[in-house]
Amino acid sequence: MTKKEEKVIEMDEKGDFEPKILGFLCNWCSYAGADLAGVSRYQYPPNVQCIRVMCSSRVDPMWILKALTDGADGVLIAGCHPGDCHYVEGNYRTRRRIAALKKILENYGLSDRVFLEWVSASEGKKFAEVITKVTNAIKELGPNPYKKRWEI
Amino acid sequence: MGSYKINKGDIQRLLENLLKRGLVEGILVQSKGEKDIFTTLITDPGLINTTAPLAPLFSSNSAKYLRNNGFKNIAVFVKPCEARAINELIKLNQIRSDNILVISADCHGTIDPKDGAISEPLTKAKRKELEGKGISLRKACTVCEHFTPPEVDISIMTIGIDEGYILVTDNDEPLEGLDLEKGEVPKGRDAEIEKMLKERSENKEKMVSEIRRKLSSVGSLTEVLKNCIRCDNCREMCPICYCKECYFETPLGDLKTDEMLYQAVIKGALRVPPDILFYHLTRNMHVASSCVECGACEEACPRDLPLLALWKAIAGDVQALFKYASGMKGDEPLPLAGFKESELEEVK
Repeated sequence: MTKKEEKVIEMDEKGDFEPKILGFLCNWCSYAGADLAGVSRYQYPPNVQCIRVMCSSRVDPMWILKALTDGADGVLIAGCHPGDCHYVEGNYRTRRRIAALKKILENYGLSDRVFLEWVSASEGKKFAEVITKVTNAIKELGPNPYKKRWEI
Repeated sequence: MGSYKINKGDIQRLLENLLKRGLVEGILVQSKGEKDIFTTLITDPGLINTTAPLAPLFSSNSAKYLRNNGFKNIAVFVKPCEARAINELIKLNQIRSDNILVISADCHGTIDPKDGAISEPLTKAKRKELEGKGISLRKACTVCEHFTPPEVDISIMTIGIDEGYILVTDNDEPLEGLDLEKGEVPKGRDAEIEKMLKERSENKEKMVSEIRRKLSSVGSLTEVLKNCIRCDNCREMCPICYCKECYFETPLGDLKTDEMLYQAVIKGALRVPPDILFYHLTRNMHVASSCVECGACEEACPRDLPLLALWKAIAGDVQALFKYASGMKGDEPLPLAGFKESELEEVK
């Protein structure tokens, strides 16, 4: 990535902070929810870059840590509602993992940058709301301090 | 099943008996060398008289050396923190539980083997004597809240007992042929434990609140980890960190120069060795729910990072979240290996 490109992503024309958020969406619910949001033409901020995973429990907490230490402003994990997992119990495990991860990150002042949300395939509107909510929350927090901190 | 009155010699007799009867093929226990005391694996019953099972020394967590034990029966005489690590590793399927006999005794605290070779438990009088010589307990022991044995095969009580020790077991088979006298746990023991616990908990609170203050902002976090050289000693000496292939030894985690250059382009510059924060965060995530807070990582650190305090804060948080105490019970499921349908609804 060149320096110029990076600048475009960080700031909009007015020079306001535009966060870069990583989204892990479960194939069966949240990704379909995102699809529905698109088909239904709901507007939401373009700051979340989505990665489709087969289940929210496929998300290794290390991926989240890697993203945060490498400078992602936020990470969103979205899956089926508890009880609705395509693999029966995957999202219950996700919930425990993310709970533990957030507990650890609390000590490092990074826990507010990790979001866990349940979005079903029929909740296109909710998906748009979630993305808006997450983006606004990160805008309020400001850029990830590790984005430019190279000494750690 | 029951509790028995024993003395120092009986512990050695018990170990000798295990070997002589062929119940176990070896015993992992501390032994006296010419000048120092260290952990050994003893197979010859004739060498039992060199053992010092209650020696208050800790050089590394010996649970680490039991990972991937085979099919031979062994007995281990370990401290409570080591016994807890063994329990955790059994749950993590790293130790076979059917052929290991775990014996553990109350721990009054340990000292670094560098400071001397003592074979008696550090009772109050003994500790005073050591303090006079300028020798203090290991840092991990001053903040330890689990100094009595967890769920093990045979536990030996030394705290709050005036004469000799009390041995408690659920299975009398290993004791056969020893003719031990039945004994009761004295009533004063609980009060003694309470007293020790209070002192240790206060120390722990102090340590944890101090590290939390340091961690609260990004700048100060850098301060805590700034001296790390990524030697991976903390990982090597951790009894729980068991992955056969660590991420940080794969091509993704162990960056070559060109890959480091690529990373450097993104941030403008890159500290070498890279990924210090990522490394510690990853270890936090992998170990927190099973950490037994033995302090082996901090002692292995050549750069004196406050790892013990860091783990006290982080493992304490995670284990409190799941109401779990690592290694205390043999059959409690691991927090991250199970779930409940209605819980943690506040996580967002």
